[in-house]
Amino acid sequence: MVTAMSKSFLNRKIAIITTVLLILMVIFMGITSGDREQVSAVERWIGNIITPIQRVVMTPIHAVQDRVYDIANFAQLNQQNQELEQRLIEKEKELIESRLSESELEELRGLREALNYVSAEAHGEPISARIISKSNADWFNVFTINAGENHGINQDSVVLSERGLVGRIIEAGDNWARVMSISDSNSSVSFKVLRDDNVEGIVQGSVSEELEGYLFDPRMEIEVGDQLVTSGQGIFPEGILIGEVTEIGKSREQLLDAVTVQPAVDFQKINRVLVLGLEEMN
Amino acid sequence: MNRIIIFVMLTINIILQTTILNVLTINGASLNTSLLLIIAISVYLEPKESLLYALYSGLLLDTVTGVFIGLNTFIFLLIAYGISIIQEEMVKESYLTPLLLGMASIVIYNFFSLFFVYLLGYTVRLAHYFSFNTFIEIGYNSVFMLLIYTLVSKFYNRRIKEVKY
Repeated sequence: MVTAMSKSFLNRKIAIITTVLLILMVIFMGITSGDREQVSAVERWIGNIITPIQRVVMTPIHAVQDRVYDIANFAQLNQQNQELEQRLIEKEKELIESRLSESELEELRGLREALNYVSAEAHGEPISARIISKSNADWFNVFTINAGENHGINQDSVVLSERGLVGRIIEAGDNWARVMSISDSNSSVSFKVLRDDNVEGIVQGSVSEELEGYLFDPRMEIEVGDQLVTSGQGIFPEGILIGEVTEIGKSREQLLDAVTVQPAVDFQKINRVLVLGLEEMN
Repeated sequence: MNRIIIFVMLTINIILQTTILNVLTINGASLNTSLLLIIAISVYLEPKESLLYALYSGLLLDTVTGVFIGLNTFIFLLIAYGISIIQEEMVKESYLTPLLLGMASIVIYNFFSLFFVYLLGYTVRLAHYFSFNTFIEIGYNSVFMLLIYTLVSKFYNRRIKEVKY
């Protein structure tokens, strides 16, 4: 009977401890959700220990992935190479024919300094980084890179790849940072159409890797195949490629044109990114 | 000594889960080996020990990968406690036990993650949780549950026998 009583007491004690811990976790979730200005000291410390190990583990994986990708896509890469060479030749011609000569540009820069005008999109040197881990939780599309505050990266720094827009920094430690990609459901980007920059709208991440959004003005025309770039509203600077329109429909309320966009970046295969560090404004 | 080994094992698992195992996805469905380990450990340990490992594993996983702290920890604690209650009635030597525990735990994990992510004001796509991918995730993790359970059983010097009905 004594044993049964002590067992019952122990079970009750464990139930109480579990309940207290669960309540604490709910409180932590409430405190740490939403945009935080800085990560806590404990998170920073743990990140500083774990991320170098993750980097070491991922280095051979990335090497193998790159080689396998190259071999598997040899024919495609060869064709892409030829297309890129052709585009390079065309771009070189455009550069020569460009109306604004370099001397005129220098003159305008001088005028800008004289008027003490500071560009709203002033950015420092882009910082190259590798993806070292990904959150395998389904509800967020977040990954960690091997560069942080020590490299000039801060919260809301813009992340892109050679193909286009990737996302933004949501948390930064000393030598690591967490990126929320544009394919995350909680991420939204304002866009304009490259073909006609009067056509603007907003896209958001969705269940699949595609982006879904709508036009601000339903009278504007948008076509399948249109390339979308950032409009400059919000934290993303203007002119970064987002993706290509794959489908156009009407939103549920039949008021706005809904668009489906294939991102320019393949988030399954990406492992290198560029981060635009923010320069100080004077 | 055992305790240190388990803490080291849980830490190594989290590093592997966020790196190599993220590459081994099936149609986007990934392995939640931290959850599977907590399940396997909870079957063989006293409740207070399994809660301790659930707390450690959950907090570390939240810190390393989470957008906010507490979600994985909450779910791991709940599952570890639930298993500790039914532990004595379980047939630990049967293959069915880890399979059923794995499936049930993934469903509970997805339910609570959906619940809290919605409650905290994040955008939730219900279609994702009721898609074919969820079944792939349950199946993928259940198969791995068998493997992890077998390894943990050997660690605790038990054998899984076929239960003939």
